[in-house]
Amino acid sequence: MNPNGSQANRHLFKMKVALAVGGLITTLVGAGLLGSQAAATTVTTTANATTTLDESSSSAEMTLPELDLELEAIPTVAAPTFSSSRVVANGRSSG
Amino acid sequence: MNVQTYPATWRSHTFRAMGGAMTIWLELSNVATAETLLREAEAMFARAERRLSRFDPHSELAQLNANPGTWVPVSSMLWHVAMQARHMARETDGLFDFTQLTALEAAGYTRSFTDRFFWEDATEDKLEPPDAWFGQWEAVQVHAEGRSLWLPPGVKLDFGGIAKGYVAQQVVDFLSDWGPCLVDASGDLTAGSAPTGWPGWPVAVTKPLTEATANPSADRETQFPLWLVAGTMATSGIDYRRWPQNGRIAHHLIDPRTGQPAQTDLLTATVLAKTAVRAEAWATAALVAGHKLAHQRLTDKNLGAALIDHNGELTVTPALAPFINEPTTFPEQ
Repeated sequence: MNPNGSQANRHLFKMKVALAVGGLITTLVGAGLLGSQAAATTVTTTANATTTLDESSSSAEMTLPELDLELEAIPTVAAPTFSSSRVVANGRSSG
Repeated sequence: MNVQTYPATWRSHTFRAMGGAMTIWLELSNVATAETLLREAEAMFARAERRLSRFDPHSELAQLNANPGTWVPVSSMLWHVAMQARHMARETDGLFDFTQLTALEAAGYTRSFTDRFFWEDATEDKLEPPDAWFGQWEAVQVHAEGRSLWLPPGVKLDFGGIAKGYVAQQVVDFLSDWGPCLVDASGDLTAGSAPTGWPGWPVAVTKPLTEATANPSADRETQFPLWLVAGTMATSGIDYRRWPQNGRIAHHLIDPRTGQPAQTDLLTATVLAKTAVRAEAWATAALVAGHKLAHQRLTDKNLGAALIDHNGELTVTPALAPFINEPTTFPEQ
């Protein structure tokens, strides 16, 4: 019997155990992350709603239209002095 | 009456849609092409109204509202309007809420204002509005793959100005391939690029209607003029559509925090933004919020806005202030 071979087997066994433990930890951490991510995307719940969003709902969140969330540059330019007779359209409430 | 003169290449087309008057301006030298494009723009409003009107029982929105508690597949247009409405409800912390139709109907707004039977229905005493809760919009569920919506029982949708703004933006995007354009959707203005040689489209914010100036069709006094370019100026107000009910004045803007017509110290709120939907949502949210909260939120967002209270006092946000009251040269024609 090769003592070195026995030692190698022990190393191999330790390595397998380490990999298994590492894999388990990775799995647990990954599951935790996924769980928190899932919680983050479960958004459409209310006081009296009995259901929560499933996976498809999270994709709905991701397909929201791309609106500009940055600080807004307002759509106007240099200040005017023209009279009301020059105006083509009046901003007003219409209900 | 003012005699207005504009460059000969500015074509305009006026028609009625979505309960109000629409005027579209397009700068284009070819008359026939301009007319064709403007007619197509009118058709875009008509198609949208058939889908999004809450007053037409055959509209897609009415059909959705009639089927709470089930998943309803919807068209691309209704889906996109609903998604943008959700987005704006979130951005305004629920001050804009597109799920307040049941409360609005309880307040008497059951028919279009252009319906001759409106006043008969609206001014009847009504029951208290059904139970609603702040943040109700979050109960509307969405399914992206199936492009379907699910409404909780008792909840109905009304996109209001959002729908009008969505279509106005579509029309501007369509016409902008041909030339500078401006859509006046019953007082909510969406502009494309500036007309040739001009800094923008010359528009104005008008003073709110008061008891003394209650005729909405009369010429309205200007609060201040503004160049509008590549964006929207939307105005919400309670100076126009209001009616007596249960011994109080009711109007069309529901405060989602109470489920009742908003008790606000503002008469009108005008908001400028790069997209029509955002301007419309914030104008509604500002009016509902009232002067103090509206000014704070609009300033935080760096949005240009003009708030007019019941005394006619005007407040503008810091983002808008540099753009009014300063002289500039008017283009030669």
